[in-house]
Amino acid sequence: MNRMLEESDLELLQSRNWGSLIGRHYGAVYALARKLLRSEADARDAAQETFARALAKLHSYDARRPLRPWLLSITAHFIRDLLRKRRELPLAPQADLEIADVALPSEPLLRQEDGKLLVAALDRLPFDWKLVVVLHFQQELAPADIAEALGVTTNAVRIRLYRALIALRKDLS
Amino acid sequence: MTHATPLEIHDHVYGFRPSDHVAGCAECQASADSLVAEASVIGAALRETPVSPPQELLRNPRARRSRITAGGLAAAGLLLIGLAWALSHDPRSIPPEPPDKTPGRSADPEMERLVRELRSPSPAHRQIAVLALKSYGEAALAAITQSGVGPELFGTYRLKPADDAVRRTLESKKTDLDMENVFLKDILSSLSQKTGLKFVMDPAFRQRLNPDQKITFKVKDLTVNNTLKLLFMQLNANFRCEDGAVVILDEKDGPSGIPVPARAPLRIGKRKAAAVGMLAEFRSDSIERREAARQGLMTMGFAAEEALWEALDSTDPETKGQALEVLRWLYTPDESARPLSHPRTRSIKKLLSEKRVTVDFKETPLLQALDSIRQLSGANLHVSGVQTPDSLRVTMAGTDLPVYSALVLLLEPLRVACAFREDIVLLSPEAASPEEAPRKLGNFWTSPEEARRLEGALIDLAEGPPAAQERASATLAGLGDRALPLLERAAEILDGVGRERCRTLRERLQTTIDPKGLDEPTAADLAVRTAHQEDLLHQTADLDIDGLSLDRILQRYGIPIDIRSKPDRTFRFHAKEIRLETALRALTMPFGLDFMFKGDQLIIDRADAVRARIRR
Repeated sequence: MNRMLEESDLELLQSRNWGSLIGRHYGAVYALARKLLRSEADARDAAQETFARALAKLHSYDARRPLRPWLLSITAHFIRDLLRKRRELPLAPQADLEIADVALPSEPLLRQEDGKLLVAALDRLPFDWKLVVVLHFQQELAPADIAEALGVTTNAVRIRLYRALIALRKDLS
Repeated sequence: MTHATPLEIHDHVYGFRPSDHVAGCAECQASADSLVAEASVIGAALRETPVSPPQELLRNPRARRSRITAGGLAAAGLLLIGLAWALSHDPRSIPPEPPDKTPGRSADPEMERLVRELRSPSPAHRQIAVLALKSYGEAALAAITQSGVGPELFGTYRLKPADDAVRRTLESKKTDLDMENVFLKDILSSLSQKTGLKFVMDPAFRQRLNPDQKITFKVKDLTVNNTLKLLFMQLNANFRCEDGAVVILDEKDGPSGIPVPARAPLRIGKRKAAAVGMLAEFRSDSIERREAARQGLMTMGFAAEEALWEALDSTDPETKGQALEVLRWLYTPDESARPLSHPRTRSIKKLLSEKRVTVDFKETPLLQALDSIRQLSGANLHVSGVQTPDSLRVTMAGTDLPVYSALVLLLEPLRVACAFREDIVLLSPEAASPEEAPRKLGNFWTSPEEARRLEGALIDLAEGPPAAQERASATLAGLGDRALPLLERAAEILDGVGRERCRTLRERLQTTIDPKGLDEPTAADLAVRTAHQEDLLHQTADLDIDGLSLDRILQRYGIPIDIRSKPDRTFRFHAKEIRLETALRALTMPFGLDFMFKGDQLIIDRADAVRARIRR
């Protein structure tokens, strides 16, 4: 199914059918932006900017790769720059290779009814951790795709995810 | 039987490294199941309602924005609110301007202008005028009364004499408290005896407060205002002055606030032409240019005021919306005001830099270690926002270290940061540390008389003949500490010779007021680092240092470092997994040094030289 979709993306790209491409991916791009930015208007701007940049940089897109992670990486980079300019970028994560072994809870600490608290706790995470969590849980990207989108190793994704979950549990416990 | 580690279970669940052990072990599988359940909760919480792309984007995918963005929408919203208000409001509450029978009856043309704006046909003008008049507080009272505009427009901003007495006590009285394991009511009772203040708990806060909760609270020689802020920070509470008492509120019920007497913004320069140029940028298709314009207007502050008011009549919704937003920011001192006082953290920083300690902590309870440092140094250390501090332990040894260095190295494994607040060192988790906030861009509000006097002095300094400049320099120098942020802000706003004169006078005053530059911004405040530079600073190393100098210590991190001024001493300490940034902070700040990047290379130099380099 995935493969068919990607081929279809390629066909749309080749036929320059931007409207259908945007229609297919706008929701995902906007959803990512909405979780990384506080305002809806900023998220809309970021989504629009993503497509404008993607069209301007199409020459650098590797057509063998799926399109969505590439679009999401443009969104993520744009938002990171925006937050950095506004000096709103939360603390950078600690070194990715440094892991504390923290005991796992015997039962889930994050519960369905904690949805809003969870989103608030997510906002308090360092940007790079939050990004990995959103790409994994919301966008359902595989670790290898996240790694490629962010230009980091799969191991870095693994550790960011692990640390982010520990921080969320600690924040909500 | 050895079970899988938490990381191995995580790797198994998220597919990084599937583990046969986890799959086959009932206990590990139970942990794995709880992670799977969590994953589903997180997925559900992050789900967004599906949205369709805007038609404008589909029509022109290369366009870089929708025409009506945050500012435009805000403007539209405010216009609608204003319109609704204008339609629903009894027109008699804004009567026609009464004939002026007494020419020159009001001494303040700004108040007269704002009262005139209240009668503007434009809802946006009226909205901003109401906001501005409210912010002037008592200073606007006479003008509002004379205008005949309904007082209900202005809500409850009026300062009651009893609240003003509370304000004065909060700001002027200092207190000491040394209380261990006591109830909140005991602390409040002690404070009440010392200050004469009356404390009242809001019902929502009383209901939420655990009556059995015991508190340990120690402060020395702090204003009552700061004491209460620290105390209530621990309890997630705020306070307000109401009817002559201090009312304690749950933090969700509103921010802390003490009433403000008559005040006015200190207007520095006029840069209408430059502001008009920036407002034109809001028509740009580039989000970066629009963002830069917004920042530029905020940097100009009240120097852009006239152009911003005019932009409220713009036909471009984006320009109008952004002008409205910046004006709202200008006239909301809670958000935009900076204190017209130099940060008073010099004495605590001096103490922490100059006082030396020798410590040897091995798995020592954190609070015990901090007590020991508190006793050795006399510093006011306050732990805030650290979860279960009683259960944390620290290991660190050092000989003859500045207190600051010892503290920073000690707290590193816990990721707890030191922030300075007047005479307090606030120890909080890094993510919540107030020191991470950038220096606030903003404006000064002070008494109307002082605002006028200082505005005149700044004009004379920037534009006047030599004699006037000299008088202005003397007036500003007479402000002491308070001249420094004022001149810093003036140098940001003014251009040309005015900027240079402000800068020169500031440098001259700083060398006498704060010769070590302890309250000056650091490189971290002034420079924006790249992601790569941040990554470099987050490298860690174990530091077992026995008589090494700064350059030898930093060699362990393996990146090029150019040390242009190094402390004339060697260090002895043992600390594990210290990030480069932490090592740099611990080993530079107490010696008047700072650090900055030049590409991938770190430069360490005297703090004033680093500041000058970044500002250039």
